[in-house]
Amino acid sequence: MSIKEITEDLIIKISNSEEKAFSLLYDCYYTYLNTVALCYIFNKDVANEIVNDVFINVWHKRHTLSYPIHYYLIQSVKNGCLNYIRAQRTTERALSGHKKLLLDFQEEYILTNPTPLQYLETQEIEKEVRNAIAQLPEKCRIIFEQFLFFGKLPEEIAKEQLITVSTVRVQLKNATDKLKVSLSHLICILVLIVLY
Amino acid sequence: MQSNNNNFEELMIDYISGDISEADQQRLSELLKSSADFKTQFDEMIKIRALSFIPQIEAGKQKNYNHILERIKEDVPTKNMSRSWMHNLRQIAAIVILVISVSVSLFYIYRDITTPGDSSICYETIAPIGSQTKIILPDSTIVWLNSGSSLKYNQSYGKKNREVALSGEGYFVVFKNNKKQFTVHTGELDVNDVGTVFNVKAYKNEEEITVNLIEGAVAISLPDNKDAGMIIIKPDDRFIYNRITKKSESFQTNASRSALWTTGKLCFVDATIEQISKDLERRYNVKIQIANEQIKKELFSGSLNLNLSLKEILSYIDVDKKYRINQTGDTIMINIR
Repeated sequence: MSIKEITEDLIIKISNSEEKAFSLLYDCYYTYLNTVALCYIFNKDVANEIVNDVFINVWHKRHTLSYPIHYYLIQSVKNGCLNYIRAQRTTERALSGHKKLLLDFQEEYILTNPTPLQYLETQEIEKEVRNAIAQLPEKCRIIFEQFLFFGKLPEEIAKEQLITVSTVRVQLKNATDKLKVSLSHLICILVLIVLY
Repeated sequence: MQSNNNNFEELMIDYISGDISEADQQRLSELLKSSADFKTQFDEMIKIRALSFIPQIEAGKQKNYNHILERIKEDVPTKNMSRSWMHNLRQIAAIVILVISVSVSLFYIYRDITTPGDSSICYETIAPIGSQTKIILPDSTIVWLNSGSSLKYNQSYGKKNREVALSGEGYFVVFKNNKKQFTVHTGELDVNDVGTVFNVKAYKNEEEITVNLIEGAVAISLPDNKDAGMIIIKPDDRFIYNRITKKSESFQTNASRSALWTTGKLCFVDATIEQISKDLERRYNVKIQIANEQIKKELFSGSLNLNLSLKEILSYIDVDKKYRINQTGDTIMINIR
């Protein structure tokens, strides 16, 4: 599945309520938009919910869609993230000023980063990422996966693995450092991809 | 820098996991502000993290699509109808609430205009023993309450008149409003004015009620003694009413001293140790007993800083080392050596 398959024709088909066309758009963009949302919202479930809302909204507004749709999708995800952060700020107004500063920073980050990741052909990258993670030392990989994919806190991982919290932190840092090296070419490539 | 770097990454890990202490939040936001390098690192870490999720996202893709389809199908057939119905419902609800709130407020406004002064809701502010409170009333009048005092006013305050009831000591800076008289009720004595600064001391356990006028003019009336009429006092006048003898007197003094307690000081001019100890009792939440009749008559002048400890203050009072001061629990006994 490639982004090049998203043509004006496809958008017209979606406008005509063709579910198959919609499913194609989903296939192309779902993973990408999730990755975009995850750059702004650290909770993967919240990020996924924001992306789902974008797709549902696309379907509801299918009669008014226009081509190209790429920036509309990204902007919708960003707006969803912004709304979430702003709502969080209102509900957590009682929180300390520093929490507010960080939320301010995040909001600023969303507003100033035009596109967090250029579009990627996700299937290819998936393999690379999977390999990069698989190549992490075993202990390091387990901790990284527990932290990232299962959303566990460093304290919980420490308890389960019978190690100290600081070891967990060091391992997480090592994992990030190693991935930075093995995926750095991706970041470079991402910038070079020219869209449309 | 290296250690700062490690630190930054650890802070980021905690922040991303949502489990970050308040102190660390401050450190992280300071680091992010401190240099563009940290911002770049923030950016990099977040992107690496987001990329790392790709395999997992891909794995859940089909299941999630079914979930989206379900949601779309749930929404679509009922969508238009339910939306417009909900919309109407909201409008109706808004109108109903508006009508109710307007009629309720009209009811209260009307009631306040027709029956002044006896609104049922009463506000009370208390300054517990050992602490002071500052109150700003609805008309911007400021009241400092000394320790062990309370101030009551009811809902209609400021609508037609401004009435408060004081027990204890209060320092009033009354917002000027010639149309609405400001009255302090203390039980035995009322202080009326339209915009002045004065101090009223009316503790229930003290014989005397004292009014010190700092600015403007006030009229004092005694509800129990209508014959006395209004007594007008001028700035720097002190008015004293004795609850037992029911006699009153007024004389010139430096009235601003009476308000020094609002700044954490106590000032006495020719005060007996008994009077001083009453103030100290309230401030430090102790009982002071003076065992010797002779000491009770001694007069003191001077000012005390209430931020000092009680022990220090007592040693200031006893500069000549004439007294024996013993403390047992909350009771302090002052006797002659």
